Amino acid sequence: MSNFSGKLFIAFVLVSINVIGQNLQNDLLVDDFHSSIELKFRPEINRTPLVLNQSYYIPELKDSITIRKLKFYVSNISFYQSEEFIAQAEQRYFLFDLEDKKSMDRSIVLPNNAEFDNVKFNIGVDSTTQMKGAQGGDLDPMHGMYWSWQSGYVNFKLEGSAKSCPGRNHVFQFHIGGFQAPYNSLQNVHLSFDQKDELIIMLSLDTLFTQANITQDYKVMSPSERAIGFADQLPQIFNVKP
Amino acid sequence: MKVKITLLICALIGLAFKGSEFINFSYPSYFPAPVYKSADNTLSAEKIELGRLLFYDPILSKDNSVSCASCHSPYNAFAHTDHDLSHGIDDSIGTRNAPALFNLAWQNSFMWDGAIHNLDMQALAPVSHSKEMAETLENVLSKLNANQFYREAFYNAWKDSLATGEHFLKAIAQFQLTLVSTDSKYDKVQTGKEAFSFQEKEGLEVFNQHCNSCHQAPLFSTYEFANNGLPLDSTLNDFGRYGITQNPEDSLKFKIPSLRNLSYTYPYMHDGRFSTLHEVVNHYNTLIGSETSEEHLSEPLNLTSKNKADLVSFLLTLNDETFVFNPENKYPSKLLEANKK
Repeated sequence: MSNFSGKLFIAFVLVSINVIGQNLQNDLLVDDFHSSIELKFRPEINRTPLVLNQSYYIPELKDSITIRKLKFYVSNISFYQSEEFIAQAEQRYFLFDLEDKKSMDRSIVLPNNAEFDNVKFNIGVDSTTQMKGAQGGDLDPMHGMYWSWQSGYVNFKLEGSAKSCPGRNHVFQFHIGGFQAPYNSLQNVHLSFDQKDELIIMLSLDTLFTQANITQDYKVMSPSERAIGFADQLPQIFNVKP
Repeated sequence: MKVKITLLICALIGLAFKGSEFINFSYPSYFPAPVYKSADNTLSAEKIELGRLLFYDPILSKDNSVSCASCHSPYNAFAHTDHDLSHGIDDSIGTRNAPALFNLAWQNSFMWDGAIHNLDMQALAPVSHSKEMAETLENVLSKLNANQFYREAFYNAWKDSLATGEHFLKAIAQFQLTLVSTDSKYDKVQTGKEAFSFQEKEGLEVFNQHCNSCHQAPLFSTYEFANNGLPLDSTLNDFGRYGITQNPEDSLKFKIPSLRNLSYTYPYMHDGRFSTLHEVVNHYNTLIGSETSEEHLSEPLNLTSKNKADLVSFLLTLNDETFVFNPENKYPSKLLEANKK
């Protein structure tokens, strides 16, 4: 019988360790073995911080634009020391939403003393994850980044208006997504930087606005050639704040 | 002694899992394995119950008038009789026939054009379509979170009273997964409980020769996409699968429906253009106006009247009354409480 109590005790200890371990993971606690880096995304136009619903003059367009929505997924954030892989952010998917200030600043937990000088990430949600069923957290379809009429996440959403845009109320809408060939819009970004406690990544949105997409292709809302064309421009708008 | 202790520990572990009753997904041995895939969506009685409540509750629509069951009635094998095109909010009429819902665990794409690739995500389409429920997921969730009845139901199902998109969608998927039709006369013949009549046997031969390549037994569909030779309806201009893939080869292809429960699911075809089985058989028998390149439909069937009667007699063995009248799939009387709280 004493043998049995002993086994029960061991089982209890094992279960407790397991539970404590899970809590540590779930709460992303920074402990003796982990530290965190602050990842911040800062969109701007003409080198001016972007504020929603404010007007910005774009000389190339000879017109002013107003942004009312900017939301995008960043996933699989991996840190490297030159070519060598160092660590990946435990949380795989982040939804950044300019309307929700908190979402633009995220803490990423990494092993202590990790040294790195470049980062790679995806803009959007990879196809393996797209094929899974309903998911929670940042991937919950309730965040308005999931297409209802044709399955798939919107990887990058940008909406606003410009006088020269012929759409209803001069509105342009770019809902860039699609993950099945030939219209896979997932993009890779690779950035080098000097390691600090925070990594600030700017999004220079100006280059996304051309005469063509304001006056002709101002509505891209399905997986298509046009969506791919738009998605291809995305990596170049991301750059590290010096 | 050691054996006893091991048994005891096993029993204790067993008890730990008994809190919520896990449902085993059972299906006949002559069925293929289900293809439903979802991250972490183990069936439980409480989650299925929540999904059933949501399926029958018009709270999912913008003005609380239309539920999933409005167009997917249990007595029609979860299709909608007498409506060629689906009928939604404010008497809106859609562009396609509401398909029957059963054996969904064996399908990995949904809708006539396969626009949805996971059952979990399917409910989003009708909820947000302007001619169906015209609601947003965000708004449905806030209505559910403001409702004490649903807070309890979500807690019972997920140990969290907050209705999230993930839990909402997974619960509806769970109820739909339980809509399994495996008790038609055809099934009873497979399990040796009944035998086909002479005419049904003759019909089975016609079926095997002409229909089984697309409407493959035992699901009675391959659930792939095909152009079955129907001429385009110029009032709808629906090119089916092409709208999703933009591949010209997919023009006028639609998802092949199962032939199970066919007496309950009229009218037929993606646009409900045929109201009787007779018209359907005649279409394949003559292929008038057909421009399909499917090899199985390169020529009309040219069946004799006897062939046709035999075929129909076999097709009727695919009706599953047990499924259509299963009380566990019907309107849940508990839902009446939802509106009181």
